[in-house]
Amino acid sequence: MKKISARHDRPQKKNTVPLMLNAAIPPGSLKDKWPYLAARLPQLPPEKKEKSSIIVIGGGLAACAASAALAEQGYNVKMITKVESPIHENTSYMRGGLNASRNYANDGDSDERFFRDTIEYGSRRSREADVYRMAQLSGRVLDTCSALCVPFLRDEGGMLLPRTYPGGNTARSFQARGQTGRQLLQAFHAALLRQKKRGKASIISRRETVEIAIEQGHARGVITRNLINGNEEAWPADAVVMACGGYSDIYNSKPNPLSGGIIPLWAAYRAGAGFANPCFSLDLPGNATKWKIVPEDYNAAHRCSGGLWVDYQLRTTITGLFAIGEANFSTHGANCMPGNAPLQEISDGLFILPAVIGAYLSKTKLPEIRETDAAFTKAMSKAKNRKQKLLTIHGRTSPEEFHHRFSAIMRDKAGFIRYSYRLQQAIKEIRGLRSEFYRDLLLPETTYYNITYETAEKIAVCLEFGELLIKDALLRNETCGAHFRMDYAPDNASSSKSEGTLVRVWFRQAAGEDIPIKEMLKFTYSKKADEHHKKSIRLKRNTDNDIRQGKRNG
Amino acid sequence: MISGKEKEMAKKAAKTFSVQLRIWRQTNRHTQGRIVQYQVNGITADMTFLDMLEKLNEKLLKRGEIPVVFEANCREGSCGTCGLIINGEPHGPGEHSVTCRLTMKNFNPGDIITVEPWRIKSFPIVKDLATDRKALDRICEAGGFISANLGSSPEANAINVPKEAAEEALAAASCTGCGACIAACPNGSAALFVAAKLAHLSIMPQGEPEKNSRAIALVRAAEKEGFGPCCNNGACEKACPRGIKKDLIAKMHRAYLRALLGMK
Repeated sequence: MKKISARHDRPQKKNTVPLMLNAAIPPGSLKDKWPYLAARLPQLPPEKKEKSSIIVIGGGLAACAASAALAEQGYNVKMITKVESPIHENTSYMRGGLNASRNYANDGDSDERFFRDTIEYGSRRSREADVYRMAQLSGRVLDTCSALCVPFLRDEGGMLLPRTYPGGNTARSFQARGQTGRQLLQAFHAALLRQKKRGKASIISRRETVEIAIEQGHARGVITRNLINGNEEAWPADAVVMACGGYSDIYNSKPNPLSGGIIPLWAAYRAGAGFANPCFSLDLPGNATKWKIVPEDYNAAHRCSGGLWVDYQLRTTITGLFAIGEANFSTHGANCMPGNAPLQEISDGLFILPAVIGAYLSKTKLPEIRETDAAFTKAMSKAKNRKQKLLTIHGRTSPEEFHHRFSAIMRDKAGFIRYSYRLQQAIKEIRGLRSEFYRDLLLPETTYYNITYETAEKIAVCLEFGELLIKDALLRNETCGAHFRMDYAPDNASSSKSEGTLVRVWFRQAAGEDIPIKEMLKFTYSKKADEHHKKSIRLKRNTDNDIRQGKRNG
Repeated sequence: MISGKEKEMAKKAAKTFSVQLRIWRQTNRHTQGRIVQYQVNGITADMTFLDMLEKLNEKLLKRGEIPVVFEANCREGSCGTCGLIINGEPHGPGEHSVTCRLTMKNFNPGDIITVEPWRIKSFPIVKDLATDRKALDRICEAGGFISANLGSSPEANAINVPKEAAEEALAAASCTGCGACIAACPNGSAALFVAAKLAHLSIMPQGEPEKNSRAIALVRAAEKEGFGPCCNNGACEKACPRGIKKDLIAKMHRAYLRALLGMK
């Protein structure tokens, strides 16, 4: 087997920016990549799995699916979530559907068609290999959901009845009457409870993950803050999985409430993980490659299209730290096709993660770790200092006021419609607001279940993340996804200088500076791959022709 | 008596109004709680009830007092996080209501509104209006799942589910786990919750093999958690935001009896 990545054999020095990002995509044609890798990944013997412990951060669909699958294979899983029970997690109000390329409607659907639709829908901002794998696994995801009693829509004959998503041509969306998210979440939550009963999994609820503990370059656990008593706690493990969802609360808009996973994501970013494409995707009514809508209709974003950078094996740039579901950046590109979000969450958690985590643990010799080790005491004191800093300001402005002011800046100047001068203004305003925040924050005098502190903690992170998002937007001279740069609008696209399709990955230096690195994306299934960017805004679809003419080599 | 329309107009004319809140305050589960009265000004009719509570919290924070803890997430009635007893009714006035979608137009200027947490022994109060509902998860853990290994299932269409069964199962499975049915019940019975769980899993052919053991496990787990017996007064059905039917409770009793007798 080809050497997949040398990077993960040696631990890296903390907070150094890698010179190049290696996506570690296996060799072979698109459809052979995952089977090739899956058959060759080293496996952990069952007795070692029994002794390994894994922390999963999050409580939604991805976290439940991953925890249940890992526990079923014998790992000791701790799922750390900030809600009381996963059934109340954010997945529960996902309405859409679950995509699977099963061609039950006999309308010519296939893995390949599904793959190509997803790539186009995302304006070619995702890796071909990742997307193809998701399409390949979609059928098995649907089978599993069906076996777990998800009451999908049925035909009179009792067969599954897939629906066409708005603007799509093929019926591949399996739905449960506007509560698909709740039904999927319940199914995997139940699967997790089954493992809990077996004693392999535990649910640590009402905890916010505030730091990642790194020992000799390996992620070895997390520091959480107990939301009830306010104390920091250390959780050692052999590997850490980020399944905390996205960062959707910065616009303070209704479908994205103040409960995203931004705090754990930012903890990982601070610890040295790369953050790819900090932006949002749109939920376009109709074909995503067509700008049928008036931009003013959309002020809020739909879904995070970025997240922690991961390679093909879901590894972030911190060794031993994995990211799945909405917490990672992969698969969707600039727009998330309706029904792909739950699919990615389940396929990552159920099939890909258990395979790659076993490979990581079998290749890595990890020393014993205890809560009293330096990695934890250091991370814990960092978390405590940060908390203390906020608690001792004794100012006069409430966190809610800061939240409103912050989201007002983001909506006005860094919403869907963006101008570079307004973005620059927004950075200044956010910096001003941040210094005011640390001067004038008002918090109540209580430690027990301090919900006001929870908001303040989130705003503190948002004020930093907002700046990163704007920095990224400033570098993007294009119109794509929920990023409508008026100076690069589709009408004058011919005059825009496109950077080509790339993933921009941000790293935080020890000094607090954000450094961007590019991962260029290669497209093999279309000959005119290099012109794809222009095409994505100019609404042309040449791929069908390419295939007909035998130009496709994927 | 003034009509609803006139009331609306009067409210619009007044633009903002104020209400008196009588809120349950409790520092933690071990201390004695009490009702505390607060006035909230500047309320508009289109404000939601939770917005109003946030307004109160801002006021308390500015006054140097500790804000009222209440829990909410999606604010659109889907997630099942919120749940308050408002003027004695779970999720506030009206049938099938949800706390987070309740707006202030349901109240009149100067109203005295009593706000309490779920009053159930098995849901200990965490603080103020927040309760610990993990008992529901523990009931599900006793057997509210399908014992199928993940990822190795037969093809989805190989399991044929009649359309009616799928619809019925979905209606039962729409339960958000908010706990309103239990809060509404004079006996504090979790019968509707358990019945919905059993119905969802037993109607579908995938859940058939474990039907009997599941019925026994879930009913007994609910008893063990300290939930009372069903009194069949139907308050649960009216309180349920998803409108889950209480007929399911009869089906649950039947399934439990059949399981006890070892019938198939």
